[in-house]
Amino acid sequence: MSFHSDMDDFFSSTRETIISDQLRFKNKLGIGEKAYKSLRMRENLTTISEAVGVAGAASAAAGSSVVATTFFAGSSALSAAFSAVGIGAFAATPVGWVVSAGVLSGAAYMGISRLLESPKDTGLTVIPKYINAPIDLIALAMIEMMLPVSLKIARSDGVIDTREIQEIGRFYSSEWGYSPSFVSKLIEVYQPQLDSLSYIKLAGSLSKYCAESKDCNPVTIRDEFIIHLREVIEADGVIDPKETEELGFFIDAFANIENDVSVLRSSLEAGKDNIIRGANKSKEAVSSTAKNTASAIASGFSTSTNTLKNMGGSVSSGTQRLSSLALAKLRKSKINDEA
Amino acid sequence: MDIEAIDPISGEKLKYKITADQFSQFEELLKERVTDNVLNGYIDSFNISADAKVLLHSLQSIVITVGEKVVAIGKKLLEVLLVLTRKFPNTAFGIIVAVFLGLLVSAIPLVGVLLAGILKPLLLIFGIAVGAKNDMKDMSLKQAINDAVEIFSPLKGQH
Repeated sequence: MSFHSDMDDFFSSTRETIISDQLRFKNKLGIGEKAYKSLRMRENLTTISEAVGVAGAASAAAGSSVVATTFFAGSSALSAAFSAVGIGAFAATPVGWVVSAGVLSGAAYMGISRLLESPKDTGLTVIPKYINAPIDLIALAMIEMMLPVSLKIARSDGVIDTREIQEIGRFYSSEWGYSPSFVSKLIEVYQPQLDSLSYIKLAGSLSKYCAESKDCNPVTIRDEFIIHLREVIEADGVIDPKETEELGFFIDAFANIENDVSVLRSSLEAGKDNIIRGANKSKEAVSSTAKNTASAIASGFSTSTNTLKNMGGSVSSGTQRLSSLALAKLRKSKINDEA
Repeated sequence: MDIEAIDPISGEKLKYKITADQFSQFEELLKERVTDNVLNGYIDSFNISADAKVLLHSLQSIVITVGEKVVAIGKKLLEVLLVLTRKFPNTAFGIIVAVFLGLLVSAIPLVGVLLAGILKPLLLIFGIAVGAKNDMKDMSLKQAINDAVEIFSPLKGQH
């Protein structure tokens, strides 16, 4: 068989895929530009320059490859600082450590906002053209862990209403981009098996998979999934207490993954310490150079101080979230006791 | 007959001359089997990094003109790579890319020029040298790659 006929054969067969809208699926993973390893550094530097609003020359300097290699790869002082935050130098910018090369010379640096990493804050949603895992593989894994939960929640009041099925179908097809026929088929397959599936195991698997995958933003996926589960409960027009109870149990199961909580706590603590240290260093650096570059530094520092305050606010809200997780844990123990 | 292409690095217009006999062999190169969307779907299904996928995607924009016809050389390269990976599922995708593109570049200078900006980063991402072809033991793969390179032989032109 010639290579020409191999090509004819290959492309004559219809390629079946479980994802009909790949862009929607990649968007739902919430990973944004972080899907790329090699391109990540340059992308972030560009964003930083724009968002911080550093004077033109500084922006140009920060975007240059010289600064990229000097500050983000070559500086041991910065590497150490970044390591203290719990991240490597290449991944440093997402948590808001920014080198403002044009304004602060040498190894001085400032802690700037985390607004750069959140699509909500920038008003932009970044969807990577490609993700790292084969798309069908990750798509199958995700739906196998989420769809049974949707169905179990829908059935928690004893019956799955057709409107609940429609809502589930809409979520996976219209929001996640799965092929509608694939979703329908899978709903049929899972319905008789719901009793043998456990919320705790499904929550554990989903949480672990998202945390380990290079293509998933676990927080975005979890939060949006919980919103979907609430919509399933509301779909038939009646909110049964059993439905809310099971949803609460599932949310608690997520929260009770201790590793998740401890990692969150330690990163928050580390972030807090470094914000204070970063602020102090920023103040010192700015005051020492303020005489010579008064206007540029003033505007840069003003921006960073405000955003530092915002970071403080974020840490504070993170701490509040930890408290609510602890409360959720207590609530779960109570449910267990009652059971 | 002239082949015209744009050097992706310098932006200069390149001109190569081919014979009428070579032009008659353009049928395969002109045959469009899949749309860009379908090709993207195939790239999505590869088990390679997102960076490598972006580089492969950039191949799609490589075109040349032969007379009044536009030939999507980049798409054809991707089609060939897809078929080779299907035929040899146990060979690492990076090896297939390196050997096929390496051989193609050495056989057809015009393709070498067109791939200049893509080939090196692609090989770096896969951590493979072009010389990988010398280490290839699988004779059937070698033969298939030679056949695939032959598809592009009408592009062997003279400046």
